[in-house]
Formats: sequence, C-alpha cells, structure tokens
Amino acid sequence: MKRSRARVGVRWALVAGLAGTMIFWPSRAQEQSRDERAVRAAYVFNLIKYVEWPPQGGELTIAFVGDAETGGVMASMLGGRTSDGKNLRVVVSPAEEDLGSCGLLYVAESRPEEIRKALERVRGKSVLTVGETDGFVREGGMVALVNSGDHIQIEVNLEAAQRSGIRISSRVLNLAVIVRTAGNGGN
Amino acid sequence: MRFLTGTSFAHKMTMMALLASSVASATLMAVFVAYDSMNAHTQLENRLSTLANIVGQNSAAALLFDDRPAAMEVLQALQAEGSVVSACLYGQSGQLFADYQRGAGVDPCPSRKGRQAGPARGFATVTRTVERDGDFAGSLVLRSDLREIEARWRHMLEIAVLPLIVALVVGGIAGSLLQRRISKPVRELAGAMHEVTERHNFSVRVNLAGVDEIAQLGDGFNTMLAELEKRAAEKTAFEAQLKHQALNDELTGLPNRRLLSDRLTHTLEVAKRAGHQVALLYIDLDGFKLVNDSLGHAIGDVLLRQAGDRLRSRVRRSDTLARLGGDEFAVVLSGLRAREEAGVVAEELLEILKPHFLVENHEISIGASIGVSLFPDNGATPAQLLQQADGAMYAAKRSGKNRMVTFSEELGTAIRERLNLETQLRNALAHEEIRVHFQPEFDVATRRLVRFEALARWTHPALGSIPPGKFIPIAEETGLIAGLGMYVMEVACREAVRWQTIAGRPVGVAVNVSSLQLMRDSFGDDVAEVLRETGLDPHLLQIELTESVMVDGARGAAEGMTRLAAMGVSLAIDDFGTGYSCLSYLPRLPFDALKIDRSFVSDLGTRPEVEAMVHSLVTLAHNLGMRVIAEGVETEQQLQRIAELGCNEVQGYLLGRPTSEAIACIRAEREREEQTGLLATEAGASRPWKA
Repeated sequence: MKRSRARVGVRWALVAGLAGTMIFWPSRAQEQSRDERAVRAAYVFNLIKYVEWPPQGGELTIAFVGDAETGGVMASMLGGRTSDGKNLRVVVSPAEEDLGSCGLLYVAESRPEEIRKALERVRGKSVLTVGETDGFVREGGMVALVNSGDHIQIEVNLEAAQRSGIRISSRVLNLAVIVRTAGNGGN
Repeated sequence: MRFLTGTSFAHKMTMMALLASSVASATLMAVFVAYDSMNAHTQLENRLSTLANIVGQNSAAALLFDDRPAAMEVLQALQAEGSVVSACLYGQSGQLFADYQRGAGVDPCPSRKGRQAGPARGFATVTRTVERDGDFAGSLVLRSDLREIEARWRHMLEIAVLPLIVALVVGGIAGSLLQRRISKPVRELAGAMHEVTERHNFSVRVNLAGVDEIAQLGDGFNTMLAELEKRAAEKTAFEAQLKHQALNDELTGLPNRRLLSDRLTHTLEVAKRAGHQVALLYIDLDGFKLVNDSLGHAIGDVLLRQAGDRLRSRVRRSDTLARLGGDEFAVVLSGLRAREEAGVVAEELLEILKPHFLVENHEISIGASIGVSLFPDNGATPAQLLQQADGAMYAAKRSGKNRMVTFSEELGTAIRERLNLETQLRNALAHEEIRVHFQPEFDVATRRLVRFEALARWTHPALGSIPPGKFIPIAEETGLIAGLGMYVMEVACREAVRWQTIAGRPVGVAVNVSSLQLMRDSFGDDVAEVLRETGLDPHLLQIELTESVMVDGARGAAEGMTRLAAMGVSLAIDDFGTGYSCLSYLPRLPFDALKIDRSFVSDLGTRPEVEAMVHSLVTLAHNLGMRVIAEGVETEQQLQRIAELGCNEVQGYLLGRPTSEAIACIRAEREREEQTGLLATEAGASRPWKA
C-alpha cells in the first residue's frame, strides 16, 4: 500500500508536470524551465518502459551529466522510483565505476565536445544514452528529447542503439524521428 | 379464442391448424432472430473489446510521450472498422487527448472523460485504461453503433416474414385438407341430423367409410335412425288407428258423435258461404230396448248393424250418417235446395226401416222416430241443431212413434217448458209438493161407494196447480215415475186402511201404474212390501193400467200382471178405447175390470153409434167376467144411460170430484145411509148418488 501511495504521489507530480507543460510552455524554449525539465524526466521515466537492455540486475542506474539544475530535477523525480520492475537510481556527475554499471546516461549538454566526451565514456557498454539536442544523436547518442517549440520531439539513432545491444520498442520508434550518426553515411 | 366459438367445425379446424403453424413458425423465427441478435451483440462487444485493447496498447506510447499526431494516427486506423463510430483517447488527468469520429452525424467526444451521461442508446461503449507496465497512461472510450445490428435484426425479421407466410399458407392448406377428412363426415352427420330434426325425415342415412370414431358414430346414427323410423311408422299407424277409433263407432263402423260434430261444423261453414240449407236428422229406433232386454245384447248389436246398413243404403255418400250411441243415429244432409227435401229423406228412412229384420231366426220389427232440425231456419250452430233435432225426435216419440217431426219454434218452447218442469218435478218430490187426492167410484146397482181412485196432484208454489196430463209423461220419460208411483201407492194404501174402520165396510182404492213401472222387475215386490207394511187387504187394491202396457212391453207386463193377480190385487184397463186396442190380449191377461174412456161417456145420449159400441163393450167385458167402470160422468142423463147399458161402476164430477178429504166423504155417505137405510133397501134406484 505504501508503494502505491508513493506512486499516486508521483503520478500527481507527473500530471502537474504535463499540465504545466501544456499551459506554460508556449514559446520561450531557449530558456529551459523547471517544467521542461520535469517533462524530460517523465519522458525518461516512460522511455525506460520501451527499452530492453541486455540481461542485468533489478537496478537501473541513471547516470547524469550536464546541467546541474536538470540533474536535480531528474534525481528528485526519478530517484528511488520503479519503472518496468527496475529500481531507479540517479547518479549525478558519475564516477568511472558508476558509468560501468549504469544502464542510462543522460547528457544535459548541448556543446558537441561535451557530448562527445560523455558518449566516449560509455562507448562499448550497454548504456542507453539520452540527450537533449539533435546534435546529440548525430554525435552518436541514441535518444534525444528535443525541444521542438511546442513539445518535445523524440529523436532516435537506431544504429547507435543496436550497436550497444539496446532495443528500443517500435512503439517509441513510431513516435520518433530516426536520425543517423553524422558522417556515417545516410542523410 | 373467440374465433373458435361459433362458425363451423371446419372453420375451427382450419383456424387451429393455422394458429398452430403460425405460432410454431413465429416462435422459431423469434428464437432465431433473438439468438442471432444476441450473438451479434456479443460478437460486437468482443470485437470492440479487442479493438480497444489494440488501440489502447498502440496509443499508450503516444499518450506517454504526448504525441497527438501519433495518437490520431492510431485512432485513424479504426476507419477500417465500420462498426466503430467514435474513439476518444483521454490523458492521465482525463483531458481529451485525441479523438476519432466516423462520419458527420456522430457526437463529438466530450472534452473531459466522463462528461457524457451514461451510455447512449443504440450504442455500445467500451472504456479501456491505457497503461504501460502497470503505469496509468490514460483511457480510451470506443463507441460502436448498434444500429447496424438493429438493421440486421430488422432485416432478419423481414426475411422471416416470408417463411412465416409460407408456413401460414402451408398450414392453412394442410389444415383444410385435414379438416376435410375429419369435418366432412361430421358435416354429413350434421346435415342428416338437420334433415331429421327439421323435416322429421327418418329415412335419411349417412355413409361414412372408415373405422374411426366418426365412422362408428355414423353407424350408431344409422342404427338409431332405423329404430326411429320404425317407431315413427308404428306411431303413425297407431295414431291412425286411434284416430279412427276416436272418430268411428266400433260396432257399425259409422262415424261417431265426435266426427259427426266435426263434419256438421264443416258442412255448416260451407253452407253459410254457399247459402245452402242443411238438415240434421236425429233417428232413434223404437222399441230397441225391448229387443235388447228380451233377446239379448248380441242380437241387439246385430240389429243395430243391420239398421245401420239399411240407413247407409239411403244416404248419399256426400252426406254423413253417424251412430250417436245406443239406438240413436243421425244424418247430416247438405246442400238442400228446399226444406221439404229433409222431410222426404226422413220418410224414406222410416220406410226402409219398416220391413222386419231377420236376426238368428228372430223376426224383429222396429220402427224409428226421427227429429229434424234445419239450418239456417232452426239453428245456426252444431250444438243447437243437435239439441233441436233431439227434441223433435222426442216429440215424435211422444206423439206415437214411427214418425218424423220437424223442429219448430212452438216445439222449442214446449221442450224448454218440459225441461223446466222436469227440474221442478225433481224438486217437487223432494219438497212434498205432490199430494194425493181421491175421487170416489160408486156401484151402479147399490149406489154405494166402492172405492176411491188415488190421483197425484202437484201444486207448484209459483205456478200453482199442474195437471197430471202434463207432469206424468215427464215423470215417465225421466224415470221419476217409479218414485212418484210408489209414493202415491204408499199414501193410497195407508189411507185406505183408515177408511175401513170409518166406513164399517170394505172400501177399495185404485192406483194408476204406468207400463214403465209395471215392467220393472222389482214392481211386484214393491207392491207386496207396501201391502205388508200398511196392512191393506190386497183385494181392496185395484191397479189401473193403460192400453199402452200391451204395446210397450208385452212380455214383461204380462208377467207383472200375473204376479199381482196372484197376490189378490185387482187389475183394471184404464182409458179403454183410446189406445191401439187389440182385443186379442184381453182374454190372455188377468184383468178384473175395464174402464170406458170419458170420451165415450160424453157422447152418450147424443150419438147412438157410440151407445151401440159401449153396449158391445159392456157385453164383451161381462162375457169375459170383467166389471165395467164408466169414467167422466158429468150429467144425470149420462148416468141414466150408463145404468141402462149395464155398467157396473161409475166415476165422475157428477158424483164426486177428487178430494183430499176422503174420510169426510166416507163419513157423509155413512150418515146418509143411516138416515135412509130403509129407503135404500126398498128402493135402491131412488137413492141419492152424491158423495
């Protein structure tokens, strides 16, 4: 019962978040608001449900890199929650060993070198990499939650995901814009 | 079930077949349609449920990632599913996220979930929660149009109408064929029954082949009809016999009184219209009773039959001859042109009955008295005519028999008077209005009182004194004479006993007796009883009989007279010379005296031939040893002649009227005798006569 109460509470937070998104999220996109951050957190939470990792333990560690404010929101919204039977743990500014054991790396960065650097840290590992810009997936990130004016557009680099043994559900793919790694042929 | 009452059996059977087939097929149709409809419903709901699941799953990601176009796209996929009219996808907080409507006339989705009140009629609604891995993502409302199912249902019903009509037609044809097999024989039975009850025709038969109950019923019906027919025939024959018996006389075969009455009524009706005359002849045989009494009923019956045959031979076939009973016949003569014709026919009938009849070696002579009544002269109704003819017949009998009398007004009056008197006479005997008077009779030689003649006197309280000539015949006809006669006899004998002591010598009494009395078997005993009771010496009683005794009842009267004579009673012939004087009987009967009728006495002294005849009578009587008594002596001259002619005794107003005071009369004579006793012995002829 306690658990379900907790979920109810989270749900309310999400609802508030989404509602807020709809109401206060008209145009000033450049300035990432707390609501936008909350929506991103919710997206991450939902995204986990549509992603299959290679077999691993019951814990999913979300490593966070980048904007600290987003990291705070993320940690507060997702930390300690359960999604798809996995206990979520949010590690902000992870150490190397944290990256080795994490399943998802959230990169709240728009600078290409920072992105590249973050991606480099988990190359070869079965880690779902989630960023916030179109450049992120072009740099080899797997999923980007891109602010497209009035809502968040999901962009997926399918090759990147497949390369690291992560399967993203076609349901999400249906919603997403598929992007290829820049310079790696394609469009 | 009203259509099952009334109408015909056949109609009912057909209707029942129709009802059965239509109910069966309608039920079948209803079950099929209902089953199909339920099935369709279930299928629709299942499909809707499946669709909701699929669409829900497919739209979960779009909901979670807030992707309306994607959600719209998923919902648009429902276009392929015709039965879904709308789909509403709501987000986690219940706000409308995406929607889909088929066509224009469909209600749009409410902007918030649950806004729509209840499930709309004619729609099936399925609500699904959209979730992913146990997390609530939103909800989906799918709505399907049931009109399709309803349309399908209606369509099925429309299709069902055809088999229903076919079932009805087939049922109707089958029912009418079936009913023909069953109701045709029943109709035949009913028809035969109708024939029997309406026309009483018992000769009808039904012809029903087969061995079923109706055929058995037909056989039973035929048997019953045969029995009924037999009984009806017996009944008809019996009724005819009864009718014949009721309307005809068994002995003669002639119509009886009832049939005569019917024919008379009918004849009068016809005559009334045609203006004809009708005569009714009432015929009574004279002296038939004597034949019956003396020769027996068997011979009497044969005689009646022969008489009937003779009458029949003289009556036209168009006229009716009937036997009314006893020795009475009647004839209705129709279509008379003149009233005299009836008289002619009556005379003819009298004539044909005149020759003697021969019955078992007995030669029997009988006459008849006929009364005639005419329509319209005398009576207008059958009852009147019968009564009048009957009265006329009696008048004929009274006036000497063997004759015909036609009814007249005077006769009618006389008959009524007689009828009236008859009634009064019965009362008179009961109320002692009849008294006995005595008229003295004297010895011509000694001029002394020898006897009194007892005479009945009737003094009616209103009508006064009624003469014996009027009431005695009535008494005789009605049979009252027996009681009246014995009453007079008893009074006379009792009085006579008293006279003896007063007179000091024998004084006799004479009593009139009618032939009817004399012929009664008990008469001799009755007289002996009176003599014994009163103590009167039989030799003092003289019974006076009229000549009619000899005519009416020769044998019975002779026996009676012999009996009386044996007792010592004197017998006298009364009113001698007025009847059918057949002198041959005189020597054979024990008469002691002969009373010469007053009509001869009144002619004495004026008509020498009468005197000669009286002289001869006196001689005759004396030669036969009989006394001669002259009655009705009213003058001295008559008395003188009587004495000269040799009469023994006299009676008359000259010498003494009838009186109730016989005793006073005796005393007066005795005193006279005592005063003139010597004179009387010396000169009897000069002795005064009067009592």
